[in-house]
Amino acid sequence: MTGVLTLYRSSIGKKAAMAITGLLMVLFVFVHMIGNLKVYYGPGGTPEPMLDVYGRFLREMGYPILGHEQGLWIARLLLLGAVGLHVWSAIQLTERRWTGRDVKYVQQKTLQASWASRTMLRGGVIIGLFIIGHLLHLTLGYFVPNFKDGAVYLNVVSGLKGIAPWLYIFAMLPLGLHIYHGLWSFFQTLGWNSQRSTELLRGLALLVALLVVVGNVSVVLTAMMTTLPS
Amino acid sequence: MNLTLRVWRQKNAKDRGRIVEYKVHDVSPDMSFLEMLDVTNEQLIEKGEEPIAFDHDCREGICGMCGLVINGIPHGPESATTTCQLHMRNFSNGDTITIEPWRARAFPIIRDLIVDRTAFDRIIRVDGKAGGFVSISTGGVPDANAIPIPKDDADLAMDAAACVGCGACVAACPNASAMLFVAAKVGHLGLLPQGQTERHNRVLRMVSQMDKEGFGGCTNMGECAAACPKEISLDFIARMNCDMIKASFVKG
Ligand code: HEM
Ligand code: SF4
Ligand code: FES
Repeated sequence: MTGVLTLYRSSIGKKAAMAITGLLMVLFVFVHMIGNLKVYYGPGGTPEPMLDVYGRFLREMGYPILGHEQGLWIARLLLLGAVGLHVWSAIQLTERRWTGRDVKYVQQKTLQASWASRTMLRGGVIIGLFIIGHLLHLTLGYFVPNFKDGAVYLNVVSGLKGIAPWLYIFAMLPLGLHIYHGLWSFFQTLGWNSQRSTELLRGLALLVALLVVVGNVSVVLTAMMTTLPS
Repeated sequence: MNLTLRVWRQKNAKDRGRIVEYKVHDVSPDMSFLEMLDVTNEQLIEKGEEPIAFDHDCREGICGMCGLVINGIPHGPESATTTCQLHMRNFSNGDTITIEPWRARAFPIIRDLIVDRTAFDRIIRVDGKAGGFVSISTGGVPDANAIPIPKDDADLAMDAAACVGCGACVAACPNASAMLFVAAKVGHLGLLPQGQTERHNRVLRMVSQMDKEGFGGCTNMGECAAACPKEISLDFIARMNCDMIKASFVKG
């Protein structure tokens, strides 16, 4: 146990914390995207839309070993902890980075660093704001006309109208970049990257990032263009 | 060649410093960058001005003393080359060249283009204890084949040991992180049998000292390896991360 603290006290340890919590979030985001694809089943289905069935599964996860919504709350707390530690480490590491160079260069060239790697902080902040907005919107029902608990499909289709879908689509750009650099970075930070595997790992990160972005954007566009019979 | 130099001039650590423009004439394309600065200084002295202070020693790419940020790139435009080995044929007649010192809080400027890199020394020798070396008395020379070392490991260790401690990695890193230097030093000993005894303590000590010196954190951008005159690979940072994680758990 003291090992964890020894590690976390160092800059490498904080980075490892970012990597592990980041990977947890990448896995979540990926599964979440697959879940979102249920929008394609449309409003029909028996007896309710597929997206609602999926939503109910999330609430009943682990039932009957766990009670109603208990599995969901465990997952939520785990994710909240991950986001919290990720952001906390980000703040501490960023403070180090900002004080590392007190006088700036008059001229500085970037030799090869990717755009994704240079925008991790900015992107992360936008993603953080998006997460808050997204929870207020489709989980709590702010700005969703006729929001009804459990009627996931109806909420999504009526919520993603006007400017909202464009904000969702806009947020996928920093998310994709963050995953592209972050997932490769995860392996480097934990010491599992090497010249022999780096191309493969970059490819994997690109694939996951693209799948998440394309999947989610297509879902948002579909919801946006769906009109409900009133 | 005739050139315009924009050089960082700073009297001492406290001075604010500023860019000053100089015209140099009669530069030969066969000169090294440092020889070009020697010529500039001679021309300055003739005019009764203060010569530009810069660090150098071996002038053959092995000591790690030289180091200038040339047009925004540590050690200049040619890859895998120290400033002393950079030739003026990389530039053209009439060019304007901006020359700055390494910039990092852990490398305070002493004068003009000279920075204080003793932070690196303190990482090599942490509070009097071994960091980047093994604390055994060497004694008599052992037979070369007494301790067998796999060729691949020996080659990798040699790659890491090529680090000359110039600090270009810190200068190039947008975060002024020293991870590549420390990783090279942790890595070359970690790959050899002689380095195993102190392996865990070494990485713990060196990383802790690195953090104390005020270097920035690593964000895996890879600018260090691209600027390194000895082409030290990012792989060594991954290796050090792995060692650091293990050592933390083993040593608590
Ligand atoms: C909640 C707002 C977020 C903020 C403020 C944030 C910020 C950051 C920052 C500053 C870094 C460090 C960049 C670096 O050191 O290279 C980082 C790394 C990372 N982030 Fe985030 N991030 C956020 C959300 C996310 C999400 C939702 C995911 C998953 C999809 C994620 C996955 C990662 C990964 C995998 C890394 C790489 C860790 C490493 O370098 O090893 N982050 N984040
Ligand atoms: S790793 Fe490369 S750039 Fe950094 S100090 Fe060593 S030789 Fe210089
Ligand atoms: S002066 Fe020795 S490496 Fe350049």
